[in-house]
Amino acid sequence: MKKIIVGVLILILALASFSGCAASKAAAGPETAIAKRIISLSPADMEILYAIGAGDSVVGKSDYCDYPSALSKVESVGESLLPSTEKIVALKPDLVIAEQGLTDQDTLDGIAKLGIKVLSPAPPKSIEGIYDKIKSLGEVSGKNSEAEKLIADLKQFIVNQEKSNQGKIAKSIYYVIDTGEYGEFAATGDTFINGIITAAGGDNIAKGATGWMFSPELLIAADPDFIIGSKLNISKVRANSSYASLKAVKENHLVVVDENIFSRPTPRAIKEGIVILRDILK
Amino acid sequence: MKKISGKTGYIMLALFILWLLCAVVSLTMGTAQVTVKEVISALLGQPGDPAFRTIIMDVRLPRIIAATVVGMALATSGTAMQALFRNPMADPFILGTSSGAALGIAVGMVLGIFSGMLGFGLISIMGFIFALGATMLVMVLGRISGRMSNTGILLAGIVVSSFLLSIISLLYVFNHDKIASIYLWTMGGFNGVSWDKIQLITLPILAGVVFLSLKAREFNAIVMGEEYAAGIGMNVEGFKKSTMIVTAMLVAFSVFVSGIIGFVGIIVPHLMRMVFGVDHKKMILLSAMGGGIFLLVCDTISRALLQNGEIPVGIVTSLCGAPFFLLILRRTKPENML
Repeated sequence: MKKIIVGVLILILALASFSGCAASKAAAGPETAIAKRIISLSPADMEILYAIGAGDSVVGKSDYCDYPSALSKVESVGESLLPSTEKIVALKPDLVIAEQGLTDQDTLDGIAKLGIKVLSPAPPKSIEGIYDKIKSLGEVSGKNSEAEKLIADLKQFIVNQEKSNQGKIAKSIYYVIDTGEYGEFAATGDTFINGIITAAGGDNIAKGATGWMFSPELLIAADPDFIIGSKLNISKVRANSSYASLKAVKENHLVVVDENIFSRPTPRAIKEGIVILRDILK
Repeated sequence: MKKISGKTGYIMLALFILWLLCAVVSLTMGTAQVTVKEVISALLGQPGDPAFRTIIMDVRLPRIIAATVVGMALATSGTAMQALFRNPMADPFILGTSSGAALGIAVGMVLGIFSGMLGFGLISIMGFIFALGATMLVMVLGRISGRMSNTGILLAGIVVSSFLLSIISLLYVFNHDKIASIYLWTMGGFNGVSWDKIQLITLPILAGVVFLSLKAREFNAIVMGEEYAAGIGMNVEGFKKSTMIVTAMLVAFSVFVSGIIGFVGIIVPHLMRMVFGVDHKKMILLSAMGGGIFLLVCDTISRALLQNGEIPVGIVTSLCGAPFFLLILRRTKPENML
């Protein structure tokens, strides 16, 4: 009987080591400088790829990638958080782009081990960071000049916005990320949303805080002119009795905005986001 | 080890064939559309689409092996812990191992150390080290007047666990943007398994399983009570210590490849006892095989059920395991329970 047990163990071991040898060969895939088949699991990076004209190289997306509309024809590999490795491999990408913290790191490590190049930097924390991201995505997709042009265009756009804002008294804004039972979280000074608010001529009351962390007391003390956020968060602010005395609540300056524009560090966040905020502040 | 009776031998052979069957079926299942013919040609090393070959040989096969090996480790550890503490609720993580691993993972993620070490993600290594560390801490703190007491160990395990979990909660508060990925890691899964990880864990886990199975006589004695075990001349203290260390190692290696997968260590040993009886001479190896098959099936479901993406395997283990377990529980004979 012992023999059978030993046999089973040896078989499992042999299977593991035999296939292990096979794997190491496949891992040494070719590494090209310019990616021709790109999968982006990050909705924000996907928007940038299309904005710099690299959309033709995109072969796969995540379920969250919904902009631009041309993506409806692109195959999805699952949710950003836990995509399907086999779906990704089947699409034969030469580059997988993800956002650190948004996609399961283990999955990304496994994909990299299969010889597929994986880029998963931390998301941009400022408008400058968005420019850097555009530049790096331009480099990997071979769209350097388009990326440079887009960056110059966005910089000019912001300069124009700031010019038209001059002489106006800045109104104070609070951009709510989450509120209520799980704590108070806001677009703090170290976020790109802070840059958008500033460029639109607003004064972010959470600019002194960092790491998305804020507190109800600070919000009440700052008493902003406007509170801006997603539909869910604005309804939570409205329903919260401790916020009833806020100026923004009393004057009904609670504004619902499209989360996808404000939560993704993209050209769209700059161009559309700033215009939306400026119109609110008028 | 005493000779295993012929009947048990046949059961083990049947379980092995069942495993092989599950493994073959699992190879043909997944989100990517790969035909059975392509699976066969990839296995035989015939030329074909290299992407399909990678999917079969480097995505599905390593997961099948990893799920089997981790299933064996968790079920065997569960069996050992339940016997050692004479407590049917004991699981492989009772010594604080899971919260230790979770803290290691959370710290790694928060510090953003995504770089590798020895070719492995540093986060997995952090999970491994913290898992072992937490268990050692529980073993040291659980000593009451120089002796390892069951109550002392269990209480130390609970207290160390809640202390570590509160540190994790604190990290959550300060790192709102990373909650999703930390949470996912602590739910467990075989996504991202690679051959080099398997090569690292397989031998130690199999060695641990064999070690525990060789201690069947001691497990049978300790289930009768520590006084009884000491009465027949067993070194109870040494046995407890070595069992805990081996279990901690088994669990830490499991955590290294798959994060924390709950339920397997509880349900499989009980299931095996209900069906095959409480004798550890057969129970430990049968649990190992049962755990391997169970986790292989669960992981196959986890990666193949959705058209896109995956379901964390920890959800599948309880979702599929619980009803099945209750069904068996209702039909079981009282003498086949711990």
